Amino acid sequence: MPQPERTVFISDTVRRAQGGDRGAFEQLYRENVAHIYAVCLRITADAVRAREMTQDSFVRAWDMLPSFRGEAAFSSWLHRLAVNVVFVYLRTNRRRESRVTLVEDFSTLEYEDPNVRPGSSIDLEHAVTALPPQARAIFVLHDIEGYKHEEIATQLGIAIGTTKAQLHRARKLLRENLQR
Amino acid sequence: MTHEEIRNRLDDYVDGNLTDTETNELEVHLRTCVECAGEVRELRSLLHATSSLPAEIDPGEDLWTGISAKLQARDSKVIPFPTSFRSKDSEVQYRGRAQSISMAFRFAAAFLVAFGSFLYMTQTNQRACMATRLQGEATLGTGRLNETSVLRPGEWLETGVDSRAEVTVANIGRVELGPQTKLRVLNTSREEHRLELANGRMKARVWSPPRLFIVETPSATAVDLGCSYELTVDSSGAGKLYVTSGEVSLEYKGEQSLVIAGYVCETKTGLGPGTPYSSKAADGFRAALAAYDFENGGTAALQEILSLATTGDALTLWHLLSRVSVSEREQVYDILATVAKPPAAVTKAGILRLDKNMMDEWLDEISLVPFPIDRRLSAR
Repeated sequence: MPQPERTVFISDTVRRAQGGDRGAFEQLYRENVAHIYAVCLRITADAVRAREMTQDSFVRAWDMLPSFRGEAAFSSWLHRLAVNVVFVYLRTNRRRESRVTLVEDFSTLEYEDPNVRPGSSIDLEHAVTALPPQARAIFVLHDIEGYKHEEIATQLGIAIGTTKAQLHRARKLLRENLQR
Repeated sequence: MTHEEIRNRLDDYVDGNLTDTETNELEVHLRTCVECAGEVRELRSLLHATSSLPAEIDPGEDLWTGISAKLQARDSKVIPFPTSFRSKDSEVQYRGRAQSISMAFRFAAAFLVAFGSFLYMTQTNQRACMATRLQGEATLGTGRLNETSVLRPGEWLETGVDSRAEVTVANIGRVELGPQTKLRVLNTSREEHRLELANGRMKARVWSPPRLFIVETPSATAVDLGCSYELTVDSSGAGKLYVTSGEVSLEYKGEQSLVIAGYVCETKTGLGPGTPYSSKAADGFRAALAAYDFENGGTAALQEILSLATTGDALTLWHLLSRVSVSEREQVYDILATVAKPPAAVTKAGILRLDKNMMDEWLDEISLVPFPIDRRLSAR
């Protein structure tokens, strides 16, 4: 989870978007879409759904722009908003078969750490994809996005014990799958 | 701690969630236990690999076109309320400004709304509710609703015969009011956002955690469990709830009806909520249910319900389990089990004694929730 920044700063682009400038908002979209899509894709394991949720996140961001006060970086605020969209999805989504187009999506990844073998990260991405939905969502939110158990439990309306149990299950399954 | 207890705390250990005392005790154990030490190494290795995953993934196509189209559609399109609850299954959609307003004025108004909201939000807090006139005339308190105004607790917002308005509920949701609707905010705080719908029709879309968004009506209280829904209240105080996504808890004097997407629940003044039914339920089924819930239909109505039940009526039957007499419960169970197979851990004996865990598990299966939902009654 992106941590709040101390600096109160609203960029000119954000201010213009707050004033209704769609061009400025499009610029914000282009700067942030890959990050927002990443969290949506990892949680849903469904590229079609992830694209829909990414779009919903930006539509909601447009609605909520007036409430952005610069207490965190815009990217952090947007990320938080997208995760809220994800939480709504998790609370209300019906079970469905994944319409997976993950191979092509994950094959386009660029790696931040040159010491990490690309193959190993892709293996991990695919192993995450193969997790059961509940375990996957909680693993992504906790271990990748940095959310605390308390917050995940509150947002999903479940017990902390449940989130801990699901995280344990996810890590165990990942270790087993990656060792094969 | 025993070896097994320590194994169960290894995730907390690598996450740094243990106290100093617990950490010390666990580390003493790790020095002598090869199995646990190996598991800690594996966990740390996994976390290291996780931290190396890229923060960004290219969506593979330009999503802006779709986003832009959605924003433009909302700016220029009025989506009317459905004339019937059964005529529309899609999610609540938000409306833009009225079509009758010129484009130039609309852009100016949109800017003023955004700028006004921005000024308000930067000067107060994000828990405020804002009312926006969408179409026709509406009143706020004793005055007229301008384009956008703060909706203060206790102040009634009323729409006229042909008017509509929208309420932004802090930063957690939106409510659209149809014509001849009267609504006010009772309380808005970090703990809850509570509205009162006296009469009329509203559509709500909420993206907060469960139980933060609550709407009181004369005949029941609707507690959001993560959802979109439509709610009407007529002049007698009777209500009708239609859930379009997620789940709503309808509550009245300690009684509760759980309404999931695609289901409707009616409420009557003095009686509270009836049994939820599918928006696609047959007319005969609905009539029998109304007779059972509100007209003392008794055994005859129940037999009619059971004879007409189909796979789409599982939630109705689940509610009836706890509403029928003990002698009738087995019959309801048998019918429900044929339309919605109970999960493996759910037994007939357990359901006949209304075992809470089994009831909850079966409901989770029926409602297909990806996560268990905390469905406790609200404190109030």
